[in-house]
Amino acid sequence: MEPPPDNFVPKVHPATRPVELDDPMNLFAVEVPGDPELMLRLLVEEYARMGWGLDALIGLFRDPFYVAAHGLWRHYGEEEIKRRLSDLLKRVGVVRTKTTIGVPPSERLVQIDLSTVAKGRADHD
Amino acid sequence: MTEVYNWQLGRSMSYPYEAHYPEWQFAFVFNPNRCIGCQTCTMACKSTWTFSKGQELFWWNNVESKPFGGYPQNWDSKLLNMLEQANPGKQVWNISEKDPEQKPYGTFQGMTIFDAAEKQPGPEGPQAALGYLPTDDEWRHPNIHEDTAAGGQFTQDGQYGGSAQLPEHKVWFFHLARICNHCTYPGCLASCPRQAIYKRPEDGIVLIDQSRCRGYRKCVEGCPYKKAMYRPTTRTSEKCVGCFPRIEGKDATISPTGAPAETRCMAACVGKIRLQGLVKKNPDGTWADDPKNPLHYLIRQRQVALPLYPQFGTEPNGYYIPPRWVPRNYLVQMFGPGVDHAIEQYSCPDRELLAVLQLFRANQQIIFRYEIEEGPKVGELEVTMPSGETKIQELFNDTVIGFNKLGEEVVRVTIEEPTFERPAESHVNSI
Repeated sequence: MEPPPDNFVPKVHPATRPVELDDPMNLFAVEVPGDPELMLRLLVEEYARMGWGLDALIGLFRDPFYVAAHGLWRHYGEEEIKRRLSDLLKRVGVVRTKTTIGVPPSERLVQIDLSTVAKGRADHD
Repeated sequence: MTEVYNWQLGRSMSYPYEAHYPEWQFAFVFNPNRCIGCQTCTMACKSTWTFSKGQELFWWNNVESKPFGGYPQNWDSKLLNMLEQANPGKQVWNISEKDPEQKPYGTFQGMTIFDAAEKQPGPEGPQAALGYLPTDDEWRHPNIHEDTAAGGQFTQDGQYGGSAQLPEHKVWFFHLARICNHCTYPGCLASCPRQAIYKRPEDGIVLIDQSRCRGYRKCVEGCPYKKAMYRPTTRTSEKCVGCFPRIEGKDATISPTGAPAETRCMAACVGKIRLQGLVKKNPDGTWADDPKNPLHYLIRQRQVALPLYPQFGTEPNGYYIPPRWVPRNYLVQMFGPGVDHAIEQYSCPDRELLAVLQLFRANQQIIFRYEIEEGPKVGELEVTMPSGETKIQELFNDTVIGFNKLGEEVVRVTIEEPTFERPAESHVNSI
């Protein structure tokens, strides 16, 4: 087999070429290395820490408006993502919180003064 | 140029004006780990502050998808390239020596935008800050092509007219919410030839005096974060105003007692990624020791939240908890060398950190102080550490209580026993 000529350019798929900063298209044509499994696990941990359960999470991943989660849904498929979410939630658990805005209710209880009520009735009559 | 001290860089740097510091500083922490890119913040800001013709150009708040997105497009990679050209191979950090007060991330040895402007004068002579004016195309489309890399459904082999499929960004990306950082040493303020931009002494909010602005667009060029924007219909520049009436406690519905309230973009965040506040400053510009202020705790004590591109040198007052799944070298470039420590802390928060994290979007009034009422241990959770290993996090029935500027209690959040969802088949003996 003859050696390739000096000006030989090997044929490569565009997706495998490195980022070129002067290429105006590069930012949306080049895949970056990463681990979808890690991204999924950490996203689920994050939302579980905020109290999101399985149904809420599946709804988020299914919705194409939320592109990060939905990208993972498309990567794995509906059944697989359900299975993975369920497995993850079994391990990481869901953190629940109870929030009270303002002063706690017990301090805002109003004591009804019956004498005032009676006086009001008398005035009304 | 005068010398000012930038604690984020761990060194002094040159700046066109002498240092003057506000009594309180507008600051915030964003948590991109939680952001789903819903853009509610963007629209809350837009519907509150921008109006009439020209408003279509104004995205004081925007959420971009990294690493591909940006508004204006490529704003950060362009400036990083300019700095690299000005100081090739030397834009590096020295992390061998740290000090919690003066140099918590080490020392940045490269050039800031102010240093580089002196070295690389443009055609008009030396500028106050290195920068560039984005093109109309770059301003025109927020979020263009950020999330839509899918190649469509034309992939059948041999199909006439079919196209090649571009790779999808399914592997990693994250949403980066951005507003004006109300920097301690603003690039926009330094660049304005009319001194039309000022920093309020009471809260550090950076504003453009519309009566002085002549629309030279030097602020647009000089702001490294590109958060000053030009409005052709009025021929002036505009920028985020930090919702200053709310910071002043003028919204009687939210603050009946006149205590400062969070900005619209913060208050509208459905993902609970935002915590805004005011941090007390000393006359010399250092942060006052205020250990029970949640921002002081997250930024200075625990160093969980980091500044965005600190190497630009403006000492931005917006801080981010780095997203955990993103390659580390990318994060270090974006948030500096404190990334490893921040992610380590955030991955398995102890009981105080977990309690403070519950204050994100807990109330519309700004929380100036928190207290924790400790409760018994209620569970254990499995968490993933940066190394990929799993670790057990203890959970306590703690209550974190937030107080406003007047010392009034405005919110309390209690962490309760966690629940574990298991499939029905594993409970065959259930009633």
